[in-house]
Amino acid sequence: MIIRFPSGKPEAPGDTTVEAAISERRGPMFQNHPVWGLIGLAVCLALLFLADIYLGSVRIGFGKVLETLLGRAPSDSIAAKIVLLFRLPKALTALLSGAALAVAGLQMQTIFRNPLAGPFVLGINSGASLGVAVIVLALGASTGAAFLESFGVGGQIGLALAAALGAAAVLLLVLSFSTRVRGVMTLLVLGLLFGYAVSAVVSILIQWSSADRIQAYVAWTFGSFGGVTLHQLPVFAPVLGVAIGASQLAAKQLDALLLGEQYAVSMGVRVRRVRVLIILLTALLAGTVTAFCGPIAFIGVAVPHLMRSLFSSSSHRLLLPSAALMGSIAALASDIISHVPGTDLILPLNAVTALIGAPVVIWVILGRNNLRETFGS
Amino acid sequence: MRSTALFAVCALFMMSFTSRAAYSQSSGAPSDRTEVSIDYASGFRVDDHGTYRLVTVTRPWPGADHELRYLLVRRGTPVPSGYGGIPVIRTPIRSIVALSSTFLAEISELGETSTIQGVQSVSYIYSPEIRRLVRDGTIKTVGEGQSLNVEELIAMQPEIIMASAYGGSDELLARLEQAGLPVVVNGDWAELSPLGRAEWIKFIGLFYGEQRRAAHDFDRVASEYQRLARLAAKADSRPTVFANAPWQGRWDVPGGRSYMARLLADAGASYLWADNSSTGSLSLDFEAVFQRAAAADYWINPGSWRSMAEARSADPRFAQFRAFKEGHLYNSIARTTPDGGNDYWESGPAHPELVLADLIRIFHPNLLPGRALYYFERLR
Repeated sequence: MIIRFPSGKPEAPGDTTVEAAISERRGPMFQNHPVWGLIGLAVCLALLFLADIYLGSVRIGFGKVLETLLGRAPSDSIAAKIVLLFRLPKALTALLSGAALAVAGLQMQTIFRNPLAGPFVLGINSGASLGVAVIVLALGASTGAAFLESFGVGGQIGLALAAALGAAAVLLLVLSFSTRVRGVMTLLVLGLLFGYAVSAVVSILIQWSSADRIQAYVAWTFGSFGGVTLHQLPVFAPVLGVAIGASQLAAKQLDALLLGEQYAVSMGVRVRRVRVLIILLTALLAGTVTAFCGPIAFIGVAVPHLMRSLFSSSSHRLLLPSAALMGSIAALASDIISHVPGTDLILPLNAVTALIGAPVVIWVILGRNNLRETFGS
Repeated sequence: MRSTALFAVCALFMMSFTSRAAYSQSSGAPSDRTEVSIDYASGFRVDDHGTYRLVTVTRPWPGADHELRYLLVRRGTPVPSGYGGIPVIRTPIRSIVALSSTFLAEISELGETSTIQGVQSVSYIYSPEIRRLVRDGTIKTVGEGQSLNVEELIAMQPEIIMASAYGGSDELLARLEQAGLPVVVNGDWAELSPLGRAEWIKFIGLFYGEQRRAAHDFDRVASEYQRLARLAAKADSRPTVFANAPWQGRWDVPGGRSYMARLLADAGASYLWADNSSTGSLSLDFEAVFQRAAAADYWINPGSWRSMAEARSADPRFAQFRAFKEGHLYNSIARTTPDGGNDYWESGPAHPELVLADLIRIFHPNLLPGRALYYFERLR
């Protein structure tokens, strides 16, 4: 490993171009061949995707899994049903969710120029939690289900709808403020305060709830990729796919914003408009994932740091696709571990993402020091 | 593993200490000196001394490492010496706050509804009579869990507060005891056999001096349960059964030595996790349950659903189960209130013979022809 010295703050605006200021920082890994880095990540992703479908509580031979996926095995056997109805949707959900959270986290870290920002920094997960808490805690599973049933949606979809409504409500609040406040930091503080306010309501609901309802709510906060069925993927996948794709187009604007809003303005970026668009995209990504899978922690904060370190770059043209790939990898790996292959047990997904994610990020931060480079402090 | 061993120890302990043995004192017997024999329950014992009784809850919660004792002394008789530190309760009690709806059913069964002073909240209560008494203010609601109103309880001055505890560090219990309130822990929910749980009506009966009535009620329940179990044992088939429903990808199924597993076995069914040695519940992956239960004959207690359509919309994968396709999906929701009260959880524990009859009717309809389901309902 090559030891590298931090180069300090980016040079003052006007001295150099965005490209020069951002993408030309050199680091030890893949810095000269970022394309190979991306290809490597893609290969890892493909392997983990297959592994996630192959490994599970029920032992199914790899040949059988492949045959089923290729449509060569009769699809009515129990093994084939487990592969097609349980593991394939779960793996696809993990893949999309991981990418969405990592991209959303990267965008928030850049917009707020804050290494601790993540997909939920605007309070979007709090909004979603409130939606779910109202259904699960206040109305109770049965009344809540009956209430949703009257609108023609039930179960997991009903929960997702409640979460999405909650997230959208918080988003509208944040957006209405974002056009009014000048500094982006005010928005960060507002997001935090919304989060506290919503958590307060949730704790009041918990206070008045019975143990089984609280347990159901807590189970939701653990996060799970297993709740999205094949029937829900036609909603889930296109939304996330389009939002992840659209985010990739914002690379240039994000590069400029990273150097500060004044600099971005001088580069011809319409800051407020870009900010609102990025916030909308992030809300769509994080809100959709939270609605269907619960508040999945850590991936959104950790993966962008990992990628900055791996590529030693702050260029979003590279970071956006690599964070998407690495986010999927992290989500798939966490899913595999949380299902403890070979046993009937499952661990809470959020426990796994944090337990394996935290040491990785600590190692990266202590070893590489590139937070200072990116965020200039 | 540990709980199984503990259960075995408790069982042995009870075999040597049933109160028949303790009933050796033979001084002049007052009229209320009725033998309290405990035949199925393993969580409490009674030492009868005529005008007073020492009641020991040997297992207040699963895995408890100490016993709880209560000294029940008949009104107007002196408190015996030598029992320092044990709470004294004057019997028959005239007021009670019951913090579980199961106790409510048993108190009503003993004809003592008028002594009920407070309940947790009206929404979980099924009994129309108790709901009416709560509505007209005769019975107060005291809240539950974190929102239990301790000040209200102090003001009400009930003679006892009967509660369930969920471990040595139970926060609710600690708060009540700290406030100096007369808490009695009822460990019925920790019993693993249906008749053992139902026998706790004798425990409640002791506080009312109604041990004779409690024993009489329980004997009827026990003999009917055994008659039904013998009937089910004659069935020529043992259909396969699984229970509960998943939540967020996790499926909690009753352990093979649990209360539910015992009921299913007695109802002449083959429970799919009967080979498991857990007395509680197992937290399994949805796909693991699917693998074992996809071809099973019956599915019972799938949570809160009231119809097949509701189940299907909760997760379309449920329609892949054979039991679902054949319409063999039964839920214990026949006696419920719109607010969430369910008689299955209220009077069911005291009446395992009714639960067993329902299950036999479901698995072996020809054994109980013409009998209607009581707690259960077939989903359509």
